[in-house]
Amino acid sequence: MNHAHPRVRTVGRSVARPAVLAFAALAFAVLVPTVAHAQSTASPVDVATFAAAAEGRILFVRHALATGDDDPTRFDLTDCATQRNLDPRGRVQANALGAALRTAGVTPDRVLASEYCRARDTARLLGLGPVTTFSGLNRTFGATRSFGLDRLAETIDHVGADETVVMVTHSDTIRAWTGVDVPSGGMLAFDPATRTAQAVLPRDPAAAAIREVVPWLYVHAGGRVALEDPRTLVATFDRDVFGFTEAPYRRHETLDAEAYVGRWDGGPESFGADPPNAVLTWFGDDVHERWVVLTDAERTTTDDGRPAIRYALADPLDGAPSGRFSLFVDYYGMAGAGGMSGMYGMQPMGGMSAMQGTSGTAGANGNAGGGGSSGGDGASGGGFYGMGGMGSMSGMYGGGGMSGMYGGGGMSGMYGMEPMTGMSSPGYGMDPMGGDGGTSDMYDMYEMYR
Amino acid sequence: MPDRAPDPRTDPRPLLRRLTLLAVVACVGAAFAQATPTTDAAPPRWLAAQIGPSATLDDPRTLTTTSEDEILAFTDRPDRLHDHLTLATFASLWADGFPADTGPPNAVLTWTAPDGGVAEAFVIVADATVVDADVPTIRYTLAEPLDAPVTGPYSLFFTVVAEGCDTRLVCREATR
Repeated sequence: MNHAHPRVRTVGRSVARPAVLAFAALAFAVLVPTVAHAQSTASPVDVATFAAAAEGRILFVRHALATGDDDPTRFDLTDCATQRNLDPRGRVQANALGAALRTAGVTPDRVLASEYCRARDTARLLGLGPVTTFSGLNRTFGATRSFGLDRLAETIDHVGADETVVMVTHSDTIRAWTGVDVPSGGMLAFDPATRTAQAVLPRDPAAAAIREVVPWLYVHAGGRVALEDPRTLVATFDRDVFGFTEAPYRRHETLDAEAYVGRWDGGPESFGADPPNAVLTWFGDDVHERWVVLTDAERTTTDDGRPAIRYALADPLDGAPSGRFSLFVDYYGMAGAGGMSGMYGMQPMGGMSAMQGTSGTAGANGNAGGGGSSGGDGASGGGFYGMGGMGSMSGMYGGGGMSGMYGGGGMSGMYGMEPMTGMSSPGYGMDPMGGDGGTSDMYDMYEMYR
Repeated sequence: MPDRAPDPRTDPRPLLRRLTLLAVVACVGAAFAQATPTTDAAPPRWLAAQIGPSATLDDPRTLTTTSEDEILAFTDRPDRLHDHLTLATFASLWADGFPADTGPPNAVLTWTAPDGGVAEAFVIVADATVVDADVPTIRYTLAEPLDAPVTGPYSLFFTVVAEGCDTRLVCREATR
């Protein structure tokens, strides 16, 4: 593939030469961000459809949800602690995304990730195979931009016709290559032969968790707690564990012992793989508390036959817990962890519950496609990725009103906008001929994600 | 032929030099603007656990808690930090306000039930005020009424109440 950058010919000496060079450089700096290699954008497909025709294609995956908006000023590529990293929802999102891809039968020959920790972590959590870091997928800004894109071009050029490559990277890199904006955890298939970019949606039920990524916290309370040894805590299981979400969600449900203990099993995001922090409090004559890390949990019974949970602690506990207790456990975010059904789902007409989106305005602003009136009332908020009112934002999942991938009223232009132009193109839920109607079919989106 | 000074009205060089300088400055500025990330790293997120000898409902929306003088704050993963906040500092988190897109924190109150077991209730803590009393006391305003016989020793577990590290919440590794 020819990764053509503007080039400046130098012909002899001229008084105008420095100015020409300078203006060319300026033009380069300004115009390069618009360079894209996708010649067209096809309608989105679900992962199963992509899997059926994955050979010879590249699946760009934007890293999952991460903290903050940008890397810190003290950013160091070799030190994750200085970077913007996956947040709890992002880790669950990446895990669920991988489950969707695996369930659909996506078996990539290679999984490449940028050198940024959030991309590497996303790639690892996808669980699609060994991850190779590749600097050509790093963010594309500043002086290294051209170099990075050249390296990416070279790699894409060598993707075989029978090969499927997953590339976990960043929004600006995907945008620079395809001209398409992708939200965190979003996927875009790219066909080097046809230069066609195509959104890939996690339709498989296994991916339902992708929209259910709010952390749930747990409280295990009961009548008796004791140490078997300094690293082993036995706490009676007198009734189901109490789970509740983080704000802004206000949900709570209970979890039985089997499901609760199961959180320590299975999968890279399990409590077993990433032990939760917790605070144990117990009530005697006084109330005591200790901060602990719970590395394992199993069902057991006490000497007098009461059901209980045996916890393994990362470190010896300082104290002698006894009597009534409550144990406050750090988040767990997988779908079904506490009955999250419907919580983040699309509402057929009203948009989804707001998570980060600003409320109210997204629906009203769904006219990026040229003045449409889609979107219902938008009263439920801008959606998971929502940024109500960002009419100038463009891209695959965006569009006027920028309600985002999963939600919000005003979904006009959801998959259709061409970057930099603000013009809609045919896309999912859009009038395929003109992209001018703002006629997003919210119900279809709801069906897609159900 | 002797050299002649260029006619400043027709000589393009001064203008070109200015334009060159302008372009170079613009390019350098653009490069630095793109190369320099602008925001700080996402901070640790702090949960909180409050314990004390007595929690009572003054009315269905008002929970008064006598407390230890400090409240334990700890981060969720991947961080493993903890620290303590004074009651006044803890209450000031509500005075400072919470992000508009999250609102006030959720919490779960557990207390010793009359039957000897442990009861629990989910609450949304809309406000917090330190009460001037002989013993450290915080009065919470609940967003929704709570109908429960709350009494006696309790623990109150809060979802994220703060982010970042500052003089209130110091990011030191938890002692294990």
